[in-house]
Amino acid sequence: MSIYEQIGGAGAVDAAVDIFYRKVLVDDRISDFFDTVDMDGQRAKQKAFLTMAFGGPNDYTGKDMREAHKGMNLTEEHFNAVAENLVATLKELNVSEDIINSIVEVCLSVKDDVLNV
Amino acid sequence: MPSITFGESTFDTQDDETVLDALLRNGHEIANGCRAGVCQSCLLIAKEVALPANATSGLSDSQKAIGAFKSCCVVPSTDIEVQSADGAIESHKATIVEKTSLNDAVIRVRLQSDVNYRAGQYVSLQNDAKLMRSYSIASVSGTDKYLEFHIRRYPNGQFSNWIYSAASIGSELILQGPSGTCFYTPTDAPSNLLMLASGTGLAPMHGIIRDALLQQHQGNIHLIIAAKTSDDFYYVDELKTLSDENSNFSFERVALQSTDADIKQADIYEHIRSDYTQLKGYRVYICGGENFVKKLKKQCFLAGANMQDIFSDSFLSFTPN
Ligand code: HEM
Repeated sequence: MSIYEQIGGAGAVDAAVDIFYRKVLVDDRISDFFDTVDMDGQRAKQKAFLTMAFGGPNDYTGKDMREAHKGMNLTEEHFNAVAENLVATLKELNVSEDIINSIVEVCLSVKDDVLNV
Repeated sequence: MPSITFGESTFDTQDDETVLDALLRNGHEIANGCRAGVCQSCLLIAKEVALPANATSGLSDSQKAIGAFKSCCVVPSTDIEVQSADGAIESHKATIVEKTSLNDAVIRVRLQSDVNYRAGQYVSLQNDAKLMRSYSIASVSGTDKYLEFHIRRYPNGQFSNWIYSAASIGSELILQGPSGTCFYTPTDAPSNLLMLASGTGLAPMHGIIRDALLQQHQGNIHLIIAAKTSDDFYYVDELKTLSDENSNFSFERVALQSTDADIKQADIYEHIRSDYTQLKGYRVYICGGENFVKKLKKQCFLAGANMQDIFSDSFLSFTPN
């Protein structure tokens, strides 16, 4: 069973998205990237991110990770902030340590692409 | 194989294909994204079928109430009729039966029509000259024998000026709709409702509140109306009566400039930020101008309300050409 199925698939994304998005919006390190007026659109993008991090269907957006984050000048600090908020969200939802580690691994595997290095 | 009816066309499904796949295969353009029940791009509305739980998970209760579902999640086992998420646009005849001024700038118009709706939804009204505008419904279906609208007069507003000046009792309109998911649905557990309205956002809100009370909502209902000055409020007597008759309903008025002791002088955003810091478990309804809705939506979300429990209806400012 994939991690995505283990944590409950689409239902897990639904459970996590509001908690994660709220954390991101109040995190000064990264809130500027996500604080647009279109909250519903932003929330949909947070869901895309979570689906991917949870190892869900990877043809979600059809966008290449490098392409999707091009020109944003993302740094190590931005990446860590996103990862920290994700881990805090998963802890709040009582996701097991093992699964959290696997999810962090997924994120690390696309880190170079996201940071465009 | 079960069949799918979409608009004018009906066709059979193949093997285990989903409603989304069947529609795409038959050349219908349906927005879609993840095809895994996450992104909600492919929402459609089903008519009179029981839907599996995974087809509606993550949707708000009002979306569920109008039959919305994620079309990538349903493999039909019986014939099914679906329509696009905007709903089928049905036209109805309507006749003006009352025109009453509510304050300097807002007029109440009541219409006779046989349209079915939920309090808080909106319709488009079209007059003889083919001018068309959307307005929220202020009345409650089943209880009120008329449809009610609160129409603000804009100096260059063609439709509102027509309503104010030319339209009279007996004038006929074409009504299209209803649409929208900003309405009351009963909650399993008693929950508190926070209702935020500015300007004629009070129209849908008044309907939603009366609807909730008629459906015996358990839990508190608190309404905050925002305006620039203390003269901008209307329906205050109606609201006072409502709160006298219902112990779980209360309301307050907030204005930037107030000369009236009953009206709190404050900036609405500051007021909500400082007094409503814990909205976890609340249902929040927000009706008003675009900025009002967007700002308060974010504030209420950050204060703990979940996005699927925030229902809103914003008036787009209409620039006459
Ligand atoms: C594990 C690392 C990350 C993953 C897996 C990831 C995943 C994604 C995905 C799937 C999208 C596409 C959404 C769509 O267009 O539908 C996206 C967009 C976006 N990501 Fe990331 N992301 C990561 C890290 C970051 C970081 C560190 C930031 C900045 C702090 C960031 C900022 C954005 C922004 C602003 C968009 C939206 C672009 C737009 O509006 O089109 N991402 N991300």
